[in-house]
Amino acid sequence: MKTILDVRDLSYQSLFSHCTFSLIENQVTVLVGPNRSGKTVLSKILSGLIPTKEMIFFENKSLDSIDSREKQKNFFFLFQDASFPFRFFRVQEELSFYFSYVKLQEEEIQEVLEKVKKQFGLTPLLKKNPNELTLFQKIRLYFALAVILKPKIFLLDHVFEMVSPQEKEILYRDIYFLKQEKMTIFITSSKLEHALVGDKVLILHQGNILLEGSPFEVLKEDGILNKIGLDLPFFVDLSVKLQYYNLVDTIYLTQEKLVNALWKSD
Amino acid sequence: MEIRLKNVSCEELQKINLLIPSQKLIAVTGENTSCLFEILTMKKPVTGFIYHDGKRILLKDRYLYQEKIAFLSSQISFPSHISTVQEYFHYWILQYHLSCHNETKKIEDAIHLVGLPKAVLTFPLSILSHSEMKLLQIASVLLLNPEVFLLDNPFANFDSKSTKQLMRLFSKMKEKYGKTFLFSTDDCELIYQYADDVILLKKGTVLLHGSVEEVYSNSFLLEKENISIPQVISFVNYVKKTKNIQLDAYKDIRDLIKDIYRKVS
Repeated sequence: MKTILDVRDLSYQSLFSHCTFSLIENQVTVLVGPNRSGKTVLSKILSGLIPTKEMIFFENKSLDSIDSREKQKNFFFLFQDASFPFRFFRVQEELSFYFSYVKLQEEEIQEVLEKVKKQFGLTPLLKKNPNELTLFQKIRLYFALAVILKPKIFLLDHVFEMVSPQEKEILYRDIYFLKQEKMTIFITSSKLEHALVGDKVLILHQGNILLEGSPFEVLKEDGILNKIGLDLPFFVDLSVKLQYYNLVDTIYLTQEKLVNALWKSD
Repeated sequence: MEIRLKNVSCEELQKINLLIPSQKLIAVTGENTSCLFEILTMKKPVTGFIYHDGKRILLKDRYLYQEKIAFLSSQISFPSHISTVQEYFHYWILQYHLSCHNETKKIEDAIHLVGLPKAVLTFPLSILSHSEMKLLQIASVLLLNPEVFLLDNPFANFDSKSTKQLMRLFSKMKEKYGKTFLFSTDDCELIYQYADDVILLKKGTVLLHGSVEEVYSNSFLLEKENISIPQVISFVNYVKKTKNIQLDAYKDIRDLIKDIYRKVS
């Protein structure tokens, strides 16, 4: 359980004041906060887009002391509307180009290419212009580029919010795939339902981490969360409240178990 | 203003027959929702007939109705020469030839209605957060003061509290001023919680249209077409199926819990 990115006593404008947390290597960390809490600014700070001094530490080195070459190798980020233009006119060429950033043998290149084409549904899109893909397709293309580049940290800012529920489920599965590729993933969102995809959840409020823990530990605190403007996803909300009102003895995480606990199986 | 579409067809949608009543919060969900909005703003050439309050409207006369129907895109973009929020509003008023007596007060009112502080007027656009930009967009559409608002996926980025506040605003405007709001979304929880009616588009046609309770009670059809249903309804259906107990699909979770309490053995 090694820490790969440390935020130590971050203060920035009026948004953050002595904010402290860390990202554990190879874990998915989801940061949820109400609107205007500074989530996107935080993503920009963590990726070095907004410079800070001696407050963000990557593998124990202060981010401002790391040169851009090393940052290019280790950090990859995707901001919500994925609007940063792709350079090439065909998906196939954009994919090939990213291989020039890493040193791989020809067979390895083919292997990785097949792997990402299959996982991210890119085969029918290879000849299309990447800038003309739908948002969902663009996000998956970015995921493929991440697998090629193999950064240590992948920052996703508000990425699940503009896709349909079915597309979101597919992206969740993609996140697990990226995790298996040994990446550390940081996701920001304004909706608590996205917390369920994380290993660790952080709640950002007024410049500080209000709650921290596993999704289960954090989502239990429905009183605190509701107060800062975040609603729990229906099923978790129901489970937590039923336990609170003593209608069940513990918080059940599946529908089947909850219903069987309420109406004892005959 | 009541809008009726009779046998309207375009490339993506065929034989659309819809009666959109006035003074309602209507969710539009499914496939090609933007296309429906393009038809309603009369930006798209179509076959068929469009009626406003019973009167047939021809495409060539659409400029007469531009003020009555306003469309809000899901994309946020501001002209590059505009730097502050105030500039943006002035630009908006001039560019769209809005009749705006007492401009300053109208702008301040619009800002206030969407929950932004008055100070935001002097802010440069570049420092606004994404949600603030969206609220700004909504405020500018309020300035147009149409009878019908068409909002393309407006709530995507908002947290629960902001969504609630906006819905409360739209509800008040519906009741007090007789406005109609159509908003497209994928979020069926949101639809069930806040909308009066829902229009469900699938395979180029209107699959279902009615009150949210009516539409979402069609479990069999919705499941067959792989359309997400609100989780509370899914839960109620599951309980009925496995334990033969009928709960009511309350919109407030506390009422659901009281119902469970009454029906637990």
